[in-house]
Parts: sequence; C-alpha cells; structure tokens
Amino acid sequence: MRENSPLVAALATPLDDWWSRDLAPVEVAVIDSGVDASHPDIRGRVAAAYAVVMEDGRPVLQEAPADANNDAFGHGTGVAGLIAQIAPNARLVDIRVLGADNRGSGAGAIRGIEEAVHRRSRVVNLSLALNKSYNEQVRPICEVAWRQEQVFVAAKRNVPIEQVGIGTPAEFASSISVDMRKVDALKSVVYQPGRIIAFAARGEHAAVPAPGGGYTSSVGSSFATPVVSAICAVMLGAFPGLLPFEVRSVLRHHVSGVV
Amino acid sequence: MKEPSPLRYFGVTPDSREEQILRLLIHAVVEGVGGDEGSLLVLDPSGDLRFAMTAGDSASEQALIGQRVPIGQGITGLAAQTRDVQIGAPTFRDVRQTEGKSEGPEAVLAAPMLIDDRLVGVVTAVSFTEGKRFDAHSAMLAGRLASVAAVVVEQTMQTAAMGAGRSQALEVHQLVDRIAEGAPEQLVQVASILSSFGAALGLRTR
Repeated sequence: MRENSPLVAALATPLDDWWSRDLAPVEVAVIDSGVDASHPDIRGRVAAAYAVVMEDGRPVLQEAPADANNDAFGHGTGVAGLIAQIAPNARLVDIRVLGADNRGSGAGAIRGIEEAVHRRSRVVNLSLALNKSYNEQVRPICEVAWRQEQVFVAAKRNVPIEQVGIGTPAEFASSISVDMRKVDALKSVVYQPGRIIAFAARGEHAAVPAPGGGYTSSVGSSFATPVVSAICAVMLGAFPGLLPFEVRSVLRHHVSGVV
Repeated sequence: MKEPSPLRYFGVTPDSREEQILRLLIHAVVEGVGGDEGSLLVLDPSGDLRFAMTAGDSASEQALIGQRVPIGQGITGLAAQTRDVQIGAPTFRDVRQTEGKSEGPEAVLAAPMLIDDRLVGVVTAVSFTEGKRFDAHSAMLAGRLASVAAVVVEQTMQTAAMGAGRSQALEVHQLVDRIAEGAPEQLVQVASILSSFGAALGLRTR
C-alpha cells in the first residue's frame, strides 16, 4: 500500500480531524420524500431536485425547483438537514420518490435510484427500504453503482420481524447498511459485527429541519442513515479517490464502539 | 346509522374474540408508549386506510370509525407507504423549540401491520401531553404489537377462507345427494364430469 494513498491517510487521520481538512465537494443524492430547499439550514445546498411521478402506471422523473419546498411528508427535509449539518461539503441532490400517490411506489423508488446511479452521485442516501420482492430489480443497479465507485448508504427497516425483509438495498453487500443506536456523539458510527446491518448511528435527534422553515424531532434508522452518509461525504471530501470498499474499511477503523 | 367497522374486510366481526384481541393490542400500544389515544386503521379494497377502532376516547371512536386516510397523508400515510414504523413530533419555529408552529397532537406514532410484506393496516398512538415524545423504544414496542395484530388478522382471514371452502364442499355434497335421490342413473355421468374436472386441475382421482 502506498504511503500517500488516500486509504493510508484516511486510516491514519482521526475522524474528528477530517472536518479541519480542505474538503472537496461531494454530491449526495437524497432519495426520499423530497427536500424543502428553502429551509434556512438547507438553502443553497441543493444542487438539483427531481420528483418521480406515476404517469399511466409508469414512473416518470420530472425536474423540480432546486430552491423550493419539494417535500411531501417532512421526512426528506429532516434527512437532508442532517446531512447538510454534518457534511459542510455535501452538495445535495433531492430525488423525491415518496409522495401523495402510493401506487407504484416501489417502481418509483427504483426510478429514483436509477437517476442517482445515472448522475453518479458519489454518495446515495436511502433512508427508506424497498420490500424484498424488488431485490432482483435493485441488486444489479446497486452493482453498477458499486463498480462506478458510488457509495450507497441504506437504512434498515424499523420492523420487528426480519423475515419480512431487513430492507432493500440495505441487505446487499454493495450497500453500507445502517441501524439506529443510542449514541451520544452525532459524528460517530458504531460497528455491529456478525450482522448484515453492519453499522449503526444516532437515530434520535432533538431538532431536524422541517418543511416550511422550522424544526421537529425525529426517530428511526431513517435518521441514523444520513449521519453515516454525511460522514462518508466528509471522508470522501477529505480523502478523494477512496473506493467504496475502502470507505467501508475506513468507517470500520474509526468506529466509536462495537456492539 | 352506525358505520359498519372496516374490520369486516378481514372477516373480523364486532364483539368477536378477534375484535377483542385487536382492541387489547391497541390499548397495549397506547399504554406501552405512554400515549393518550390510539387507533387501528385497515386497508380497504380501494387502497385507502380506514379507521376501524380506537382506544382512549369513546367519542373519538364514534367520530372516526370508517373515516378514510389516504395512504399518502401524514405520519400514518408515511408508515403505510414505507411499511416502516414512523414517529411524528410537533414543529417549532426555532431550533431550541420554544415557539410552537404546528397544531395537533404533541407526538404521533404509526406502525404498519404487515402480513409478509403486504400492508393490511396501521396501528397508531398519539399523545397530547406537552413535551411528550415517542422514542426508539416506543417505535420498537409499537412495531412488535402491530406485527401481532397483523397475525390476528391473517389467522382470521385464513379461518374465514377455510370456512368458505368447507361450505362450498358441503353444497357440492348436497347436490350430489339430491341427484342420487332424484336421478341416480345420472351419477355415472356426474362422476365422469367431476373426474375430468379434477384431471384438468391436475388432481389425481382414486
């Protein structure tokens, strides 16, 4: 391993010190319910916005204003707000796949994922999970993303019976999968050895941005996932050139705890 | 006229044992998470959620039963859409959360009822107590109890389907009996028709 390789530098540099380096911009796609880009904490951070809508039963990607409220539920604004807060170098791309029309939401989410792969967003945050019936459709898309050096960060589902499926694409080897844990420090990751969901982060947040300009509290693996996405974005900004498997190794090296 | 309970879509009849168990589960969710009220919504054939029962305030139940909640609406709709437990909290104007902005309950929790990965309903809990927040523990508990509620619904549906199958078999049996009494010479032909039908379905006859 070359001494000046980004992997060596990332392993040798304490996680807290990453933020004091010169951070290159990193595009982070947020595939969610949309983002309120007019929120004071997010304003100016959204580079592009899209909405997947169903037309004649088919998911169609439409451009949306990158400076307005594009959030159908409030979920995506909280997710994007956490990424914006933790990763000052993150350029957000809002891809709305959760909306008022539930029908075809699986197909809509896949269309959103395809767009993130098409754009080659370096980090793709999925604070949602598709059910396992979509596994075979999503798996090759994630493999393409892996080969073109994209880092997928995906949430474990908050469901108690794992036979239902712990979440697609969280259960794929090509994703960094995230569960929630009681963790005090925001900028920290916990390792869960021996589990498919390998990492965990803080999933309870007292104040995240809400659509319309305000703040609310949030709970769930949905809100642990953007913590890890943001840390990955900072890592990639501090050490450009890291490959996805190296990102996982560096995360593992710098975890704050093992559970 | 009193709105019939949407639980009928699953074969759960009023005052049945299954209805009582579901009601107990809703109460367990509300008590377990420290909420004030709760509800169970079922997915109706049109694809909307409908209130089927509530816990906490009997006046609420009268007002809410049968009301539709489109899947894309609010925390309940989000839980249905994501098939994931969702927690909602009030919105404040400031990050220190001193000046309230939103109206409605202080905290909302919604857990999907899933059979395999098919949504059959959503269990909710709400709190009106100032400062109350549902946490990860609340989410886990509600998710578990919603899973039990889904099993109750699934078992009821299976029992109803088996009952329907039995009654149809009985009808066929009674019809053959009547043919045997009134036109016994036709029995050979009836047996042949049933045998051919069975073969077409890939069933072996003795």
